[in-house]
Amino acid sequence: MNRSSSSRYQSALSRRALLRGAGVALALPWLDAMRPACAADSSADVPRRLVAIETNMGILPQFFFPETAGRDYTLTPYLERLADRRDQITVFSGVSLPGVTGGHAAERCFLTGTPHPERGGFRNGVSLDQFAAERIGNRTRYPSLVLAMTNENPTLSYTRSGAPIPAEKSPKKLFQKLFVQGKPEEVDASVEALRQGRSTLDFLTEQAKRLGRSLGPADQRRIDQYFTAVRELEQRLHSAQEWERKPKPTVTAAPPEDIEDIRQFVNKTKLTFDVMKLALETDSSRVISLFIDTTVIHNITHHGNRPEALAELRRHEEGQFDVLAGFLKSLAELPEEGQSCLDRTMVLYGTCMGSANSHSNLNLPVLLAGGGFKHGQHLAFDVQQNYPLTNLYVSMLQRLRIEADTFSTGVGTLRGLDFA
Amino acid sequence: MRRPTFLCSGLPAMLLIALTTRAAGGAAPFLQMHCAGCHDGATKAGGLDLTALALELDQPENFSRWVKVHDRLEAGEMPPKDQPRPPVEEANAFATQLRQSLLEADRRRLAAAGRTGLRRLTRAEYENTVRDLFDMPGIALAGELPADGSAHGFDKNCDALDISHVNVTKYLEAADHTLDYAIATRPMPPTVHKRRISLCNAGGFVAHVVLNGDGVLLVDKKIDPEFPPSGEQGHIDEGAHERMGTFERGSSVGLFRHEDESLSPYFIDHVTIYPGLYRVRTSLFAFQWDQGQVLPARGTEAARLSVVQLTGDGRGGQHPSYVLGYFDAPSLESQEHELVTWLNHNELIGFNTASLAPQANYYKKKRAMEFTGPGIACDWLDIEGPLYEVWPPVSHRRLFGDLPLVKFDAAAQAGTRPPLRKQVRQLSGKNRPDPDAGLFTVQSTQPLADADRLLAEFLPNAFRRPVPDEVRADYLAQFAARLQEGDCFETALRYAYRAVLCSPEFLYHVEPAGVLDAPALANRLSYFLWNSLPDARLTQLARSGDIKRPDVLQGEVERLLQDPKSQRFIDDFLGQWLKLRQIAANDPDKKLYPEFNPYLQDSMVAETRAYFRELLEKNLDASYLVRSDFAMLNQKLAAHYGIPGVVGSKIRRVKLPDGCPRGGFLTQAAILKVTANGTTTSPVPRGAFVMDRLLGQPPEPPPSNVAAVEPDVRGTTTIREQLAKHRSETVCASCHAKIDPAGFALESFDVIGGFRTRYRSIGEGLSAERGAIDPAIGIGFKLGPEVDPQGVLPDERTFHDILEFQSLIAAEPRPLLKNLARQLAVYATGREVAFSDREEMDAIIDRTLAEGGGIRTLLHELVQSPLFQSN
Repeated sequence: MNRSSSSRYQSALSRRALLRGAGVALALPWLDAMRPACAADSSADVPRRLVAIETNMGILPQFFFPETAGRDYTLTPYLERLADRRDQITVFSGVSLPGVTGGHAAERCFLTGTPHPERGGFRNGVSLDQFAAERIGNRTRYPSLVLAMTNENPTLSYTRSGAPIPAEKSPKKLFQKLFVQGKPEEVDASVEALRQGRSTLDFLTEQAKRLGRSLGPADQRRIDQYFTAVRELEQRLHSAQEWERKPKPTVTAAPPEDIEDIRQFVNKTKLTFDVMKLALETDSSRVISLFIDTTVIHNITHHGNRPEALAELRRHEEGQFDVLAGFLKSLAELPEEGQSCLDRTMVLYGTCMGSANSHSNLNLPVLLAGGGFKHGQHLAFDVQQNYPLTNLYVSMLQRLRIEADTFSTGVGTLRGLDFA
Repeated sequence: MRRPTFLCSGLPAMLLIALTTRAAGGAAPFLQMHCAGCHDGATKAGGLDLTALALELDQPENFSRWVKVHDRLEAGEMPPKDQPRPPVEEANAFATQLRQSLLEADRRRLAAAGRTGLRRLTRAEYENTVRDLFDMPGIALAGELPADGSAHGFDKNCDALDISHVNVTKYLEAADHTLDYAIATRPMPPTVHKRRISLCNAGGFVAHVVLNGDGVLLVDKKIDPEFPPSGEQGHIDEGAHERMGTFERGSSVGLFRHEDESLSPYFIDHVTIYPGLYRVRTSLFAFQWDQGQVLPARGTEAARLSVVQLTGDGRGGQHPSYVLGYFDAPSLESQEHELVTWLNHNELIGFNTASLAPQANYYKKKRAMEFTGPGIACDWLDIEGPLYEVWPPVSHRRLFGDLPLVKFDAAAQAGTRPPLRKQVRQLSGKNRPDPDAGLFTVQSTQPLADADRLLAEFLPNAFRRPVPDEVRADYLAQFAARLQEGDCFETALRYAYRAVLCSPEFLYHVEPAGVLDAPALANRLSYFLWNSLPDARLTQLARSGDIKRPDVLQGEVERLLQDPKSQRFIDDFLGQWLKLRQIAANDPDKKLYPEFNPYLQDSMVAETRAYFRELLEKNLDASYLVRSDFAMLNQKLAAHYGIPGVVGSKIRRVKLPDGCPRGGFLTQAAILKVTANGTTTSPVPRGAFVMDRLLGQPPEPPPSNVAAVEPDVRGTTTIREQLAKHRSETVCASCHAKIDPAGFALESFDVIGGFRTRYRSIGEGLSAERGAIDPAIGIGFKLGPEVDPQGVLPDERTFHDILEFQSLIAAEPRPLLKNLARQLAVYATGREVAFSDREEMDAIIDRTLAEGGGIRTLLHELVQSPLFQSN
C-alpha cells in the first residue's frame, strides 16, 4: 500500500529512470512489482481533495505552538486535542503570508495571499480553492463548495478577478443542495430556467460587444471583464444543466437543523463539518473552503492579558479543536480503495492573525492534515523572518496534480514537506 | 532592473541631465549634492536610495516615489533642518523641473487610461437605482449582492468595482426579485387593513410579561386588575396560563427588560404579506415601577422601533434588519408617534426599551412584585396598509403602462403558457391574505407594438440616457422570440426587462471620454447627491441640455441637497470618508464599558450625520471639522458628553458651554469609536485617522517587520509608555512624530468617546465613581494611570490638551478644506485626484475661500469645475 500512495510524479519518474537505466529484459520483474503504483496511475482519476479552513480571530499562540521542532515535539494543549491524528498532521510555526498585513483586514487574504489588504486600491487575487477548482472542479457536481460558519457575510473564496464568492452559511441548505433530489417537474422547470438563463446571457454578451465598440481601449478592457463574467456564468449554467438530469447521491444521515445562536459557534462548526464529510464521501465536490467566523468572541481576543479572558478564550478554542479532531477522525475512518478519505484529502487549518491581541499578522498558527504528505512533524521556521505560507499552497496544488510552480507570493514548494 | 526609457517619454532636456543619475554614471548634481548624503545605497534614509532610483515615471510605483520626493522638497521638509540646505532658488528650480516632468507623465498616463474608468453601480447605487426606477422605496437588494471593494478610500472607483460570474448570478436573481415585486398580479389592490396591536398578544411573550415579570400589563396607567403583576412564585395567576395561546387583552405593556437573546418584543400580529408602504402609529409613556406601584418616571425615556425580517423557522433573527427610529416616552403621559415605512415580505415591527439599562433576566431581576426600577410602556401600535396611490402601482405601470389587467383565459389562449406566480409563505402573524382572485395578467391586442412602445419608455430611464432605435430593436427581438415560443405577453416582456436589468448599460455608468455630455453630467450629479439615477426633472434638463448652464446646475445642486434623498449621499459618503460603516466593527468590552448600548451607538452615528448636514445647510467653514461652538445631540449623547439640559431622543443643535471640546468630527463619539478597538485606544490608529481622513496627509504604512504594541488593560502601564520605547527608535521616530500628536490629544477620550482623565482598568487602580452611568448598571472596572494628552506638532508647536490641539489645527483651515475637497472629488467622480489635478483642486479651494470658505460653497465649486464635468 505504501507504493500506491506515492505520487504519480515520483512513480512516473522512477519508472522512466528505470527504463532508461536498465535493459528491457531486466525490467519485467520490476514492473510487476510496481503494478499497484501503475494501476493507480492508469485509473485516470484518483480523487485528491482540498479542504481549507480559516478561523478569523486568531488562535492563542501559547497553547498552539510546540516548543521543539521535528518529529518528537511535545504536544501543546491545543494539539493534545488532535493527538489521535498526530501522524497525519504537520504543524507549522514561523510562517506567514508575505506582505499580508492590516490586522482583521488580512482575513480575506488567507487563501489568496494578496499583500496589503489594508491599503486603498487593494484588489484581492484568486484564492487557492478557486485556483484549484478552475482546474479540477469539472469532475464533480459542484466545482467547489464555499462555506462559512457565521451570521454575517465573510468568505474565503475569491474569483480570478478578485471578486468575493458568497459563502453558504446554512448546513441545512447545504445538505438540501447536495442530497435532496428535486421532483421531475422541478427538474424540468430547472432545466428550462437554465436554458433561458443561458439564452439571456448570450444576448448580454452581444450587448457587451456592441457597447465595447464605442469605448476607448481602457474601458474596453473593463467591459471585457463583464463579457468574461457573463461567459463564465453561461458555461457554469451549461454544466449545471447537464448535472441537473443526473440523480443526486443519497445518504442515510438525517438533514441537520441549523443553529441560529452564534454564541454556539462550536456546535455550529460541528454541524458544518458533518455535512462537509458527507460531501466528500459522496464526491459531490473535491474543493471546499470554510470561513469560521468567531467575531462573537472578538472582545475577549483583545484580552489585554487578563487571566479570566484568556481562560474563556482557551475554552472556546479548545472546543474548536475538538470538533476539528472529530472531523479528521470521520475522514480517517472512511475507507477509500485501501486508503482512507483523509489520506486523499488535504485539510488546511489556520488563522490570519498570529496574535489577535496585537493584531499581528506574523507567525500564524497553521496546520495541515492528511492528503498524502509525510506528516507527523513540527516544521519550525524563523519567527523573526517568517517563511512564506504561500509555498505550502504551491505544495498543495502540486499534490492535487496541478502543474503550478508558483501561487500568489509563493515561488516554490514548502521546504521540508514531502509527498507520502 | 529595466533601463529608463527617456527618449520616448518626452522629458525636458534640462531635467534629463538633472535626473539621469545612473544613466550619467553618477548622481545628478542637485540630488548628489543635497540629498545623496543620506539617501544613498549605504544609509538609505527613510528607505530611499536616490542613487538607485531610476526615472521611470510610466511605472506607478516609481511615479509615486518621485511625487514624494517632489512634495518633501516643495514643503521644505527636505533636506532636514539640521542639515546644510541648498539655496532656495536652486531648490525651487529643481522642484519646478521635477513637477513639470511629473505633470507630463501623469497627463500622458491619463490620456491613455481614461480618467473615471467605466464603472459599474456599487451595491448601494444599484439598490437605490432600482428603488427609484420602480418607485419601490424599501425593496431590499444590496444585502444579497457581493460586497464591493474599495479604492482610494471609496467603493466608487472602477478599480474597486470588479465583476465576475458571481455578480452576474446575483444580478439575475435581483432582477427576478425586483420584477416579482413590481408586477401587479391582481385586478384590485390588496385590502387595506388597519390593525391595533398590543406588544403582548402571543405565546412566549405573554409568559415573559405575565409570568416572569419582565413587564407588566397596565390599564389607564394602573395595574391591569385582570392580570396582576407576577408575584414571588414561579407559577401564578390562575387562568393566565391557559389563555396564553390566544391572549388578546389589549392592555398597555410596560417593559423593564431589553431585547436580548431570549426576549424578542415584536408586534407579531402583523407579518407583511404584501410588500409596500404602511402607516405605523404608536403611543408610549415612561414610568417608575416600585414593587407593584406605578410612579412618575425619572424623566423622558426612549423606545426603539425597528423592522425585523422573520427567518425561515418563523422566529426572527436576533438583530433587527434596520432601525426605524427612537421615540420619546414621557413620564406618565402617553405620546403618539407616526411614520410611514416600506415593509417587505415577512417583515414586522420590533420594539425595544432603548434607554433603559439592560436588565438581566428575571432570575436576577426578580419578579415584578419584588422589582423596583424604570419601565417603558407601549399602549398600542397601529399598522395600516398596504397604501397605494394608484392601482396598478407605479412599479407595474413603469413596465406595462396602462394595459388592462384581465383574467388569464386558458381556453381562449390555447398554446400560450400562463404567467408563473411565485408563492411566498407567510411565516407568522394574524393578518391574512385576500381571497385568491384567480390568475390575472396584462392583456395586449397588439403585442409587438405595445412592447415596442413600453420598451421605448423604459429603456432610456433604465440606461439613464437616450437609447438608439437599433438597441431597442434588440430587446424587442428578445420579447418577440419568447412570445413566439408560447409565453404570454407578461412573461415574454418580463424576459426582456430582466435582460435590461442585467445589461451593461444598466449596470455601468456609461460616460463619454473628455467633457461629459448633458446626460452624463446629470447622472454624475444625481449619483453624487442622491446615490441614484436622475428624477424626471433632472432627466428633462439633460434632454434639453440646460443642465450644462452653470446657473441651472447650481439650482439643481440646491434642489438635490434639499430633497430627502440627499440623506443617501450623507450616509454613503460619511460611511466611507469617516469610516462610519465600521461603527459596529467591535462591541466595547462589557466590563470596561458597561454603559455602552445600541442606543448610544445609533445616536453616535446620527450625530455625525446630522453635523455634516448642518455644516452643509449653514455653509460653515472647514475649521468646524475639528472645532465647534455647537453640537448635534440628543438626550443620550448629551448625557454621555456631560452636557445638561437636553431632553428627548431627537437630534438637535445644542450650543456648547465655553471650554467644551465637543462638536467637530474630531471629538465626536462615532469617530472616537471607529478609531478604537473596543478595549483599548492607541494614539497611532487615531493619529493616522486624523492625518489621513481629516488633514489629507496619509501616513506611510508601518514597516512589516516591526512588532506591534501588545495592548494591556491590567492598569500597570499606559499606551504612551509602551509607545515611548517604539518612538525612540530612529526608524520609527520620523513618521510617529507626525502621526502621534493628534492621537495623544485624543487620549482624553475612551473607546466609546467618553471624556477621561484616567484610563479604565480591570486589574489595578482606584475605585471608579459612577458619574452618569445608569444606577442599574454594575461597575466592575477601576481607574488606572492618568491620561497624558500633551504633545508636540511636527512644526514644534506644543499643546497641553485637546482644546489647545483643536485651536492649533483650526487655525489653519486650508488643509482641512483641501482634504474635504479631495474626498468629495474622489467620491463624486469615482477616480483618484491625480498629480495633474492639483492645480485645479487649488483653484477650487481658492474660489471657495474667496467666497467665505463654506462647505456648501465648496460643493458648488466642485460641481462647477472641469474636474467634475469631464473624464
